[in-house]
Amino acid sequence: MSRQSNRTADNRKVSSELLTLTYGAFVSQLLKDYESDESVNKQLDTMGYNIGIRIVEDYLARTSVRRCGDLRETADKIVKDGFKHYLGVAPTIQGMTHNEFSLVLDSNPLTEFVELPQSHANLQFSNIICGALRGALEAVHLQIDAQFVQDTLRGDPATEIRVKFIKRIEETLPPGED
Amino acid sequence: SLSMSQLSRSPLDRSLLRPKTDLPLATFSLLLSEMIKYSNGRSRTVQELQSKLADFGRHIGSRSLDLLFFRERNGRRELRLKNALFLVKSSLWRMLFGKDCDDLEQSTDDERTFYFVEREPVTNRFVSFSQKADTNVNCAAFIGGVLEGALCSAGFQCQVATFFSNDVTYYEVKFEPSVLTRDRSLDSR
Repeated sequence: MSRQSNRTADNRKVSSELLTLTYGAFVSQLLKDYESDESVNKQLDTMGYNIGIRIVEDYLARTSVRRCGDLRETADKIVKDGFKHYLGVAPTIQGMTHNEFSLVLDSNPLTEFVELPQSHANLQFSNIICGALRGALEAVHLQIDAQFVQDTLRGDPATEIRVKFIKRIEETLPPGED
Repeated sequence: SLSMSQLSRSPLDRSLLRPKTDLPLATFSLLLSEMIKYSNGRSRTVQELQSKLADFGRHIGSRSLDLLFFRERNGRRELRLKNALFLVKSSLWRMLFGKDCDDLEQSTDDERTFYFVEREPVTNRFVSFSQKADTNVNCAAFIGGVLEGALCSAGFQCQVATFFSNDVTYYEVKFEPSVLTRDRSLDSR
């Protein structure tokens, strides 16, 4: 296939600004390609889903972990091994119930120096993260829903993703969706 | 609280001098991979796809060089062509990709043409949707766009084409004649 460098030893880094600028370029393009903010939100969610599945593949290739015992453990892993590793930020877990919790982000590499214009008030700029959460957890057989309930980009005092556990997935699903 | 007032400040108020954060290449690669899939789905030819990827790159490049001048050169812009090229090859590449570009050469036939040479572009880490060797070029077209965006934003108007040959990626930079003329006129000062 490709001349890839040795996957397990690949710990090359790039600047978070490259990620910020690349994501910004992409969202700008989506806004040109689609009519409505809702369509862009949906596209970001779908792409995030695909990324989430591949993140889990990458994660399982790098580490050997056992299945999480409960939702709290799952949330901790998402923060430490997901957000901290891939995005360099560690959200705090808040409002934990038996089937829901919030991830509150102090900062977000995707939104550094980003300002939303008034004309795109319904855009969920970082929706790719919600899709990634959905895809990643589905890859470990948990069906969840993730939504931004607050976003500093939209003028809210904090940035908060609400994650709701729906059910365990028994059968294997085909990976990826278009 | 302090964090509340920070949040209500406009991005324009925030300092550009920030502690550098590095992320795993995987994060960037995963995003770019989806961007390539998306663009591929909207392209009818390879040219069109490369053009779309270069567009993304230009968006990034045009925003990067001034940032570099501000952070590393005390706001002083580079006016001389060869100095600007060298700065891009080393500092800009490092700022974005975590490494220098491998080589910089001037064409022997044409003084307007330069080549940036790279053995392992950061976009090479994955080749997911095609078996063709072309795919390397597709992905690196993104970097070619970064290069073009950066140089053009600094007043060195050019066009960049990306080639793959003998296992190596070439970014061919062709400058407008006016760039060379202006640079020569600075010689005589």
